[in-house]
Amino acid sequence: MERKALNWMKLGLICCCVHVKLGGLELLPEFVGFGMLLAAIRCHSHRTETERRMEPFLLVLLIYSLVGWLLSLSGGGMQGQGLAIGQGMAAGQNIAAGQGMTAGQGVCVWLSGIHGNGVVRLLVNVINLYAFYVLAGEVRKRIQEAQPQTARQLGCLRVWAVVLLTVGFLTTPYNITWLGILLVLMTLGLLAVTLVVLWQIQPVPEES
Amino acid sequence: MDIWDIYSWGAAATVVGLLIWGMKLIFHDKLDARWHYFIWLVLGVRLLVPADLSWVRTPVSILQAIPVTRWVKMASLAVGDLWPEGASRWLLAGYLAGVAALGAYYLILWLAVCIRVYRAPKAPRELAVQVEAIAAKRGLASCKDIRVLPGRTPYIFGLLHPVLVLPGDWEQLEEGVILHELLHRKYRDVAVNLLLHIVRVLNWYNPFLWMITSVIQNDGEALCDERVLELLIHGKDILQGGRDFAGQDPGAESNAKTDGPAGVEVRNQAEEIAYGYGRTLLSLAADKKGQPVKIGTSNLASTYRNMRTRLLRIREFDRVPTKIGVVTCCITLLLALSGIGNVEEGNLALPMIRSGRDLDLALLQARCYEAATPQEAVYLFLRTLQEGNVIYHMAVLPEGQIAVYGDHVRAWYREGCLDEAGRLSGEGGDIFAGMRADIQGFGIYNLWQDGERGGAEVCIRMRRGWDPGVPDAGGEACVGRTPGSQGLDTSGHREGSAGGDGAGRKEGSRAPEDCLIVELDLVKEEGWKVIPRELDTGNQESYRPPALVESRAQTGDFLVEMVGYQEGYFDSLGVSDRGMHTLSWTGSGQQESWQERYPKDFSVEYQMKEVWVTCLQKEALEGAGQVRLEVYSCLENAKGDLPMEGSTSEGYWPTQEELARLSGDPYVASYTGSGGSDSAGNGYVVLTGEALEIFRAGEPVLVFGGSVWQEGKENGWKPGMEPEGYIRILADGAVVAEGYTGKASIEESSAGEGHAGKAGIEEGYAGEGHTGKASAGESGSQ
Repeated sequence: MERKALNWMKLGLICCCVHVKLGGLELLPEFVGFGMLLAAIRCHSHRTETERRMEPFLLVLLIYSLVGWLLSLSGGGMQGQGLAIGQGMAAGQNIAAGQGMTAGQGVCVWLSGIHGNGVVRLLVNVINLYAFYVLAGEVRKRIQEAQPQTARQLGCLRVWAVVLLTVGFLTTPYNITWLGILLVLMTLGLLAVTLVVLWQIQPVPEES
Repeated sequence: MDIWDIYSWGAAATVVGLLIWGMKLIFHDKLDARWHYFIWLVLGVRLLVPADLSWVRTPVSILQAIPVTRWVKMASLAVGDLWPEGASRWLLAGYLAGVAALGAYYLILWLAVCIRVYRAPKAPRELAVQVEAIAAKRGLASCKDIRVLPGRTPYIFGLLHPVLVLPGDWEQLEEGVILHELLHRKYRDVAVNLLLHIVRVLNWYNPFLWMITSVIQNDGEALCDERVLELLIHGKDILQGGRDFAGQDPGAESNAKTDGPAGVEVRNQAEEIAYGYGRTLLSLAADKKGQPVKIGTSNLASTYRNMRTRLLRIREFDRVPTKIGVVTCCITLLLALSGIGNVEEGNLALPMIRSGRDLDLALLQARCYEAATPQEAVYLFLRTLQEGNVIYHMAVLPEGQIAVYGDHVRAWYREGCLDEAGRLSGEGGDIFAGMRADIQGFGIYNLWQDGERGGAEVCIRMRRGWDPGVPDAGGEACVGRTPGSQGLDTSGHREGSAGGDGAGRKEGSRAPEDCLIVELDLVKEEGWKVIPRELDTGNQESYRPPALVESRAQTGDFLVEMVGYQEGYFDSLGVSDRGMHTLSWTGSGQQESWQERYPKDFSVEYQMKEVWVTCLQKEALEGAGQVRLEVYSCLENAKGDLPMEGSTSEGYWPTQEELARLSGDPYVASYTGSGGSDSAGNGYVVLTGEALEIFRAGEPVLVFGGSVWQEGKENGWKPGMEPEGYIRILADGAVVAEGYTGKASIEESSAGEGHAGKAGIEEGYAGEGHTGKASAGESGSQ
């Protein structure tokens, strides 16, 4: 894998998975991570068909996380969960009705409603799972010949990551404390191992 | 059968179907035809389960993010209000008529095809041989029954005995076309088509589901195309010793994967095969008018519009990412569970009231809200009391009172008594007109429920100096009792104790009245509803909740009376970090909207148990210098070995305030001593000196049974239950009486050990006593 793309990928993964907050401000926002992953794909001198198809997904994830970050800065239009469809849009329509809300406030309320909506969150989660799994698979294919063992490890890790994310997502409503702790520990461990494996990947010279 | 349930079911399926369709558009070139077809199983699951399935909990629920079922419910209420006389019946009749008509039409079509096919001549021998050869080449089972009929395309008809129908003018068969039909037969796609037609019949009024079923059929065809290409390109020619189309030996790695000239050539040949197959399909595609509906058949060629999707899939053959089974399974699981699951969180979302229409919408949404637990219903009712919020009240009002209450609310709105959040002005009507500003807090006691009905008592702590008289009327138009309040009158007093003969109600001099006591009935309709039943005033210091459960037994020379009540707490009635339900108001203006979480359960709930022991025979304690009364509450302790001396904690003793409160109690004049109780509901008292004299004289002594943190709804007391416990009375260290109270389901232990099960009262004797369930008056002491 090419050095530049590899570096972008490592940084992107750190930004996506590691969260550092300072006084409510996210210092490593996710949208930066997705932007770096996008840059990693575009760095390749020869993009595969699959990588080309992943670009819109990364763009969607970038926009979604950017909106979330901006809403967290502005305080959002609504606290807590997003609104059901119809409520957020109704709130946004009040902008046109000129009922005393500024345009910015109206946009915030509307975006917050859409951003927090359950269906939107579900779609983003699904896209996130797919994009991570497939991109990891593409990296694995690229390094398969030069570093077969690392490729195997990466293949195994991506399976674990997707399963862990899915189980974690589905079990949150049940509030099982021991399971939650276990999942958190496993996720941290998986993240650490993934970073180690990524660092083991030897870049190949860039093709001119 | 309720027509609105049918509409809800159809609406839920539509939402899930449209979401799946949207998901397919997102992944149109990223997942293969198999996923695009089998993802529809999620819709199948949705069609099979009720619209309001509640036992599957998910972090995201499609039907709560897009609450179509609630919209249907609101529509049902609106229709019921507008046309109360049998509108639902007419709608149901219309629906069933539609089902019958479409079902009959499909049945006739199927019969027509059936007759036509089974009357058709058998295919000529040469055609049958060609079919068998193609099947044998690819290792598929051929079709035994092959017939010819005029037509454009071949198809498979029948489920149990499939018939391959070929166009009558075909002399030479295309391998891809025949493989397509044989694969339909192999995977029983005719059954799927039949199911889709059933779905259409049941949802004949729903154009979205018609569209979705058409997409499903097309996806089935696309999957069949993919299977055909897999056979043509990657499959082995059985008759040629298992070599593929490029002449590769079996077991050899495909040349298509190599980068060399051979690999490029193989890929080009594969594309040619796919291209040729696509051209065949296109040539067979129907014109824009489409083909007549054939029930119970497969269908090779779709319309031109649907063919576009299939051709795109053919083009994407072998190009989508491979080896992604794990993530596709995870995605499918997420979609499936989100399609049928429910988020734990409820959502009472209301519009801010700026017009009569907003008010009607708010009232409608409140009516549709279903309080999931009695605690939640009580919480909303308390918010009603605290804020005078008519909308919250509507959410927990029984169905029978809604119409009248709604009229009152509209009247109040017209008179200007309501604000944007549905709160009555200070002079407004409702239960506690003019008193809301004096409310300081709430205590909730004895909340019980048996799944259908329940009850509770609420002690409303008022501001010191509050006047419990009739409130100031203020604006006359805004004053009035809540309809159905059944005579709530703050100036009246109840006679005797509330809720039975539990200990605690005292007579005599009256302290200043600074609390209101409201008895509530709870009834389960579609959600829990609250009916305030009776009102009284009282004093916060002397207030004691009535007993919810009681039991009484006699052991030896001692009478044991056990009373219990439940005490529940919400963290606060304001914005709460606990709980999972969300209350939101949306609107515009100065305060556009707000949202808060509120609890659906108590933050904590305790079972409080008190045991009163009365010495019936002074001689029983003759000469004793110290008497110890022990109460063991946990049933587990009653099995096997008795808890040993000292197993209770020393930690608790009534505070001075509690002693002062009890000192006015008719049961206890005064007592001193030491004692303790623990959170397991065990307690003891040691009586000496004056306290012992009082006890010997026949005055009941209180032994705190402690407070037990109630875990689980199933452990809650209900009226009529008898609290269980084990009593042991020791005089100077020697047991003089012991036994169980209540309906303890304990196996009798060996005689002489002093353990008793459900024994009769007759077997009391000095030194060791047995208790059972007894009524007062029976001696049983000898």
